[in-house]
Amino acid sequence: MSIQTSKLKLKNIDSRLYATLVRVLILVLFSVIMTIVSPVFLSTRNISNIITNASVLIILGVGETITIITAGTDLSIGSTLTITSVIAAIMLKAGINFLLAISAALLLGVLIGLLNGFLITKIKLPPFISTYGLQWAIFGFAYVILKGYVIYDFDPTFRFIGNGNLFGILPMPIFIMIIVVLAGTFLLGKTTFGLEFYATGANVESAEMSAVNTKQVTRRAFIISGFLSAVAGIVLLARINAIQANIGQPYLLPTIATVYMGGARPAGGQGSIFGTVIGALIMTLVSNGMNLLGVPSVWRDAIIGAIIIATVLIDALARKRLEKV
Amino acid sequence: MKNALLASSNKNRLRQLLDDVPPVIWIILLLMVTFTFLSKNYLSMSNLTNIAQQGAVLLLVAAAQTFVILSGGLDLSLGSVLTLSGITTAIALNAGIPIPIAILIGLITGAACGGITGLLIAYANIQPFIASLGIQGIFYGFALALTKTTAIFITNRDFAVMGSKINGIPMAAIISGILYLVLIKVSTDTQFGRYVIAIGGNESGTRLSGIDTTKYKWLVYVFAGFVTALGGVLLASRLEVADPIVGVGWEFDAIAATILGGTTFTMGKGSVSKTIIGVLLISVIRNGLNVIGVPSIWQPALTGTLLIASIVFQIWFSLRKEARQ
Amino acid sequence: MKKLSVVLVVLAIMLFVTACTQPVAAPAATQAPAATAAAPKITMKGNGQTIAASDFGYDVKPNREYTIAVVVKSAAVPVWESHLIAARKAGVKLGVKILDFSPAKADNVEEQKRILEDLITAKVDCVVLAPANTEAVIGPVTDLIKAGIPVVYDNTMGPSTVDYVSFVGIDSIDAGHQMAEAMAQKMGGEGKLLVMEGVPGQSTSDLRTQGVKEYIAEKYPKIVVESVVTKWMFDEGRKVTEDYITKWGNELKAILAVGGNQAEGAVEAVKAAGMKGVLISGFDVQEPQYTAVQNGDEVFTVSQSVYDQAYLSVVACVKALNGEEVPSFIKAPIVIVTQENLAAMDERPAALQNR
Repeated sequence: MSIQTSKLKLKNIDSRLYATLVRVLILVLFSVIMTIVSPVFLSTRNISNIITNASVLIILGVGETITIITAGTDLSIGSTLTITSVIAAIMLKAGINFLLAISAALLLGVLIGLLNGFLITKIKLPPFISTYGLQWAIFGFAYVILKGYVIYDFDPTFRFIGNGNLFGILPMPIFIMIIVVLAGTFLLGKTTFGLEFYATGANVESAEMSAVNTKQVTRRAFIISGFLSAVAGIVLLARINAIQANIGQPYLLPTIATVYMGGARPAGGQGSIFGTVIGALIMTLVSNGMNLLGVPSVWRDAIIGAIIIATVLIDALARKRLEKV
Repeated sequence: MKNALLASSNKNRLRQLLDDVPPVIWIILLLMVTFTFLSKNYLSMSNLTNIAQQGAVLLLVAAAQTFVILSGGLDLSLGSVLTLSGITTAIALNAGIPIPIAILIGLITGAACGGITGLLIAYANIQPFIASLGIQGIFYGFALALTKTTAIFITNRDFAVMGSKINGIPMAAIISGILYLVLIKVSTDTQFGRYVIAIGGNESGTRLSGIDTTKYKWLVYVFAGFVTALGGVLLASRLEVADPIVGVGWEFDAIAATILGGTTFTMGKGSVSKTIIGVLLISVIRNGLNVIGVPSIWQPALTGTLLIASIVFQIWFSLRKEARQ
Repeated sequence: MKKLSVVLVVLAIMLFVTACTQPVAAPAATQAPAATAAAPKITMKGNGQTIAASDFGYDVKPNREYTIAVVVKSAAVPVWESHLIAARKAGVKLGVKILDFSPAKADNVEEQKRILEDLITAKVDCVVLAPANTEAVIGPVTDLIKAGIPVVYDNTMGPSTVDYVSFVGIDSIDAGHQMAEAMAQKMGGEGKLLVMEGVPGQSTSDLRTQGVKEYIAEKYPKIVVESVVTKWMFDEGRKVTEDYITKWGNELKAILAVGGNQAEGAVEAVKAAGMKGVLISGFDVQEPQYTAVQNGDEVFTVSQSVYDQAYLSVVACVKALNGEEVPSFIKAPIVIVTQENLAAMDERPAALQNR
């Protein structure tokens, strides 16, 4: 290896580390500000709330990170979350064993991922369009199935997933989230699967030339995303103990925002789960902070928007400074 | 011998005709025939002008989005710009400011919004998806703050003329149509338009030939904001209120219409002139489903499915056409 | 070609399967024209009087099978689902055809305008409307009336400057007062109260919140009130409550929701935090509120008599189409619902089916 390439490699690792550090710094900065401004912020209960609330976002984010790295944005996660939890809810209320209901939901998530994969690889629809169209259609079907009904109050065994504490201290959603994050990080960082995701995302032709079946890889990415959307749906359903036809809608854009905040680029080939997790924590933290401070609802979306832009800007600036080195 | 030649040239001409007509037109015609069959009130001058009125504002927003997509970008903030420009116009009108000045204020609002978005994307190099996503939260925040979260009723009755039907003449549709023709001219016959398309096709190449691509990329967003504001003013006139959440989701409809018109995300292929086809399809579907009495609970599912099918059809068709050439 | 047909077949199957489980409404094509030269005159405008719902009457015989369009504010929301069920029941009982419409995007003004425009084209006989925004519908309602289609406002007041037939609903400010009184009593006249608003800009949200706040400020000054927007959503209700538990701790004495499913999110948060004795009240008598009151998680909820609102709106339409006189304000009763009268006041879609 020549000096040039090794220097380049060092710089690449450095820049990724730098970017991650920047994000963690932002998170820490916010936490510090919040603690100063609101003394209750740093209580166990509050921190636990923040991380639990972020769990659904993070689970969705892991799936979204993978698709953005590989092929493009998956806009159908909100609707997938909705319809999988709707199906699970109906089954639970019909008295079906909760394990079966969960399995059905997960299977549906996988099927939707397959449909996305098919539309993108065989019909050659751009991912943005395929998932957007599917999102509309699935949302419509969820409407038709559930109409205006709200299903409420589920089997307590099932609800443990959302409300229970493992070993008495660790909330279940956080536990599930940690498993998903660890699995995702391992998948992306340490397996050939992971390498293939990055390769396909960076450049389809070169990936093909390195004997990567990019079509299969793309399909895999969307299946994972669909699956994780279903997982998120189950956790959310168990946590709030109710389901409505629009339950997944508020999660779509924040999830995509957190993934991009985490360093992914739409060109593909870049992104990390750690970054996504930090991004999700920042978003949830800011939301929580706004509640604690009683920020008028009118400005909430604006503040989240500003945070998103600020995070990405700081990251871009950091990247530029590093390139000058 | 002559007969055979004649027959084959006729067949070629038919094939030529089929090739040249955008595929989505067939779908529109098919739908209109179906609707006529299902409701005897469908095919009336009044309804057809309704369809035109209902699609008038979307036509402008979609054209704006087409410009942005042709330049290789994306603007998810157009819905918020639509909203905000309508609001500033309404506030100005209610303060007694004469209509032309009030409209100007609305247009400046749109251009300014676009300018900010453009700064983030062209100069700060933030990805269009995340930049426009973040900024739209801020724009909506202003919209909510300015209106104090309720819709503003526009007391100036003369203003409503632009958006309504006068003696059956669809004013909004006509105004929008004329503006659209101007926009088409801009895209094909001005330096700005040509540069925009060049940048979308090959940004680095265009830059190498001496054009300040950053400036033009910024200008596209300013322009898109301006055009969207034209829609915003028209919408405020049509509704006679400025509602702080009225624009939610319009940017996605605009993207759908652009794609249905044959413009793609890769390599800036497509044109502004075809976007009207997408707008027409969306308007025909929505109006038709209402007129034949389809319950609203069914409409998102049907609309979504029809739109996906149309997009698939459109892409399949253009791929086949390319293969033949 | 093969791929395309596969996709189209898949989509067709999707549609077919869903269609088989839910019947689609028949098209409006086969109805007689709304008004002919020889037909009786339609009452377009109310007579300016107010009447209680119970006095108005639930029975009327239509002169023919009218087609009545019911346009609500949002699809897929339980309380509107109940409205539609009540309206459809009225349709069946009275012998008229009911079509239903609502914006896919909740409370969307532009969609509602398009719906109303298209209803003029479809030549329905009468429109029952819950406006997403009072002023925004002035245009389309005026056009409907010009086209000879009478309009009844259901649940939410519409433009008063036009010749509408009637408003069937509750007095939202009065509702706010009643809720405030009930909760203040339970609170013993003091403590910290969290008020959950809905969607600002909707008269129901704004007026009820206003009613609560002004009543408490006047009659129970010792109660500290903070209000927060929770957009009629569970998740928002839960998150906001969690944060207020963190903020106020044990001082959080009561939570009052002016509508929607927000309070039930609060119930979850309170339970998860292990807090006891927090007084929570909801609004409407749908599944979540019903269960919460039944379990004792909520001290009361409020019925705005959605069944009567929707049903009587249809009756008002029929009377107007028959040419009879119709009062301008049909007052639906506001009832504070506790465990005692819960079963009787059940307004869940399933329960309404059996009424």
